[in-house]
Amino acid sequence: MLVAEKRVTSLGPDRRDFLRTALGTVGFLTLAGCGAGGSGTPSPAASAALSPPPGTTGALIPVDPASMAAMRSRPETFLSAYSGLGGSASSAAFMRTKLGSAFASLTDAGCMTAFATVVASDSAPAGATSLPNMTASLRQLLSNPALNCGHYCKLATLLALLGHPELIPPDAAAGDPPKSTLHFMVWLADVPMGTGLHAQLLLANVLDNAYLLLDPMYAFALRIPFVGAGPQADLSVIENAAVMLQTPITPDNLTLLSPAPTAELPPMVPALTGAALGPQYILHDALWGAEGWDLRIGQIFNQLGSPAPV
Amino acid sequence: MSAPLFSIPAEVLAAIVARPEKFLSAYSTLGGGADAAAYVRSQLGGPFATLQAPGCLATFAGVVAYNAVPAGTSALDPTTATLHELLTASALASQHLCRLSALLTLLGNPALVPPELPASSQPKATLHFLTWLGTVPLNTGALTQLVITNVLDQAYLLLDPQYAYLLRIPFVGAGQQSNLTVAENVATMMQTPLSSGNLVLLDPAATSGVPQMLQVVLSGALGPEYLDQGATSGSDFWDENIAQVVYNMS
Repeated sequence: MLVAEKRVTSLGPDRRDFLRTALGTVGFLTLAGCGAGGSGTPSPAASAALSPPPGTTGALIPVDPASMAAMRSRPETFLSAYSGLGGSASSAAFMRTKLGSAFASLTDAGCMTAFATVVASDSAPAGATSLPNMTASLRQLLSNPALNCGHYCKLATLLALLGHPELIPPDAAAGDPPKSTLHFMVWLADVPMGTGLHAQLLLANVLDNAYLLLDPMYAFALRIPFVGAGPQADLSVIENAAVMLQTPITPDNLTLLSPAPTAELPPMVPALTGAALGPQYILHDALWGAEGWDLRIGQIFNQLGSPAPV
Repeated sequence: MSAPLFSIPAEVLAAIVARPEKFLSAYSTLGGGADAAAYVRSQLGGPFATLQAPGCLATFAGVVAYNAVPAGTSALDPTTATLHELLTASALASQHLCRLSALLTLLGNPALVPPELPASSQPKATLHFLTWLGTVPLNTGALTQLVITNVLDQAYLLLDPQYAYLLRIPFVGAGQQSNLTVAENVATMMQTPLSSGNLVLLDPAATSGVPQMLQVVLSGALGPEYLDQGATSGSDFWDENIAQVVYNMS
């Protein structure tokens, strides 16, 4: 079922751009937990869990080093890497098989974003970095020696948009047909996952009667089944998903793309599937919260062709 | 005068200006939504029957660019202008219109970014700027057009988003020379006269004021001596510039 939900609106573009430029320049746009308080420093638990790159040990969908090297020098080869998955079967079919039966209805856009999550996860270890995640370019993200959760999410987003530009937020306008969209789920520092402030990706309209939550830093995919009457039109995608996370989720909806990161962060899986999360933990902020990221990502194509960020 | 081959409703153009990704949904609805590439091929006619999907998408991007902004002088820097800046400009020169067409094309097919792959690799379609000097006998002054490789059998596709036409440039002799750039190969092959069947006017009105241009394009009068090879204006420069578009996505 495709759903249309409340769209994010907020600050005017001029003010947003000014603040992002100013704050990004001085390094305030890194996320907490995976960089709390703008320091860019991961929490101790996160640091322990996330070196080497999270997807590289026991990975469900290994990315061979040659493909990763090709993507670093020519990011568009991400698309050929994706199309090469599964041999003679379709890439999406391969991804669905790997992710498990709960993901059987995952669309190609969802499958490609899951693969982008794998690639982002493999790209670099988690760690402190001065790279401003909101303004970082694809080249910077693919070549940076360490990333935080915001960087991982942005890298996965940029790669996914190469193949499925329609995923760009905002959601379809009221009255228009619903469309698949990608959003940043930004959690407050007290979210009970043991991460501190943390960002994940949330996709709408890529699964039947469910959201797709992707975490490129902790390397997992979670299907969030709709509960009750489904999404509420007066809530945003992020809010609806957080509400649905208040209901326990059966383990088959969770697929670890790599087992190590979550194994070393014990509170995370129980929090995800045990209804410990909820909308009270969402960071709402027009600059660096879920809304801010929606607005930022929504500008990517408008800004296509701009010179490399400094 | 004949009507344009592709009509783009004003509301569709407005939607693309507001949200550039709407270009892709506009493309996908061509011909009733069945197969946009087949529709484009059918509109272009026989010589373009082998035009592959990336070439069809680029053709539609050129049509959108042509329809979105009138040709004219612009203070925008064509080497750094963003998609939003180009789509909202009041007038654009040929470099800008080519950049706008290129950016729209890359939205739907980022793999078209230059450079071409090494000769040892499987060939892939790539998009290039063809930059003519002011002395080119097209009576246009300096002019920039787009060339797309590997989207036609044994031919290049030339797209002019300012004058709204497509040209199929068949390979001559032994075909592409590996020691020449795409622009040089194209210009070399344009020294051989082309039959008029290789030319398709996307909007006849765009060239009605410059009829000699089409005659010259077909006549074999062009050639590599008219190429702008400048370090900051030639085809090589633009190859590098466009290659950065995907790198610099942010």
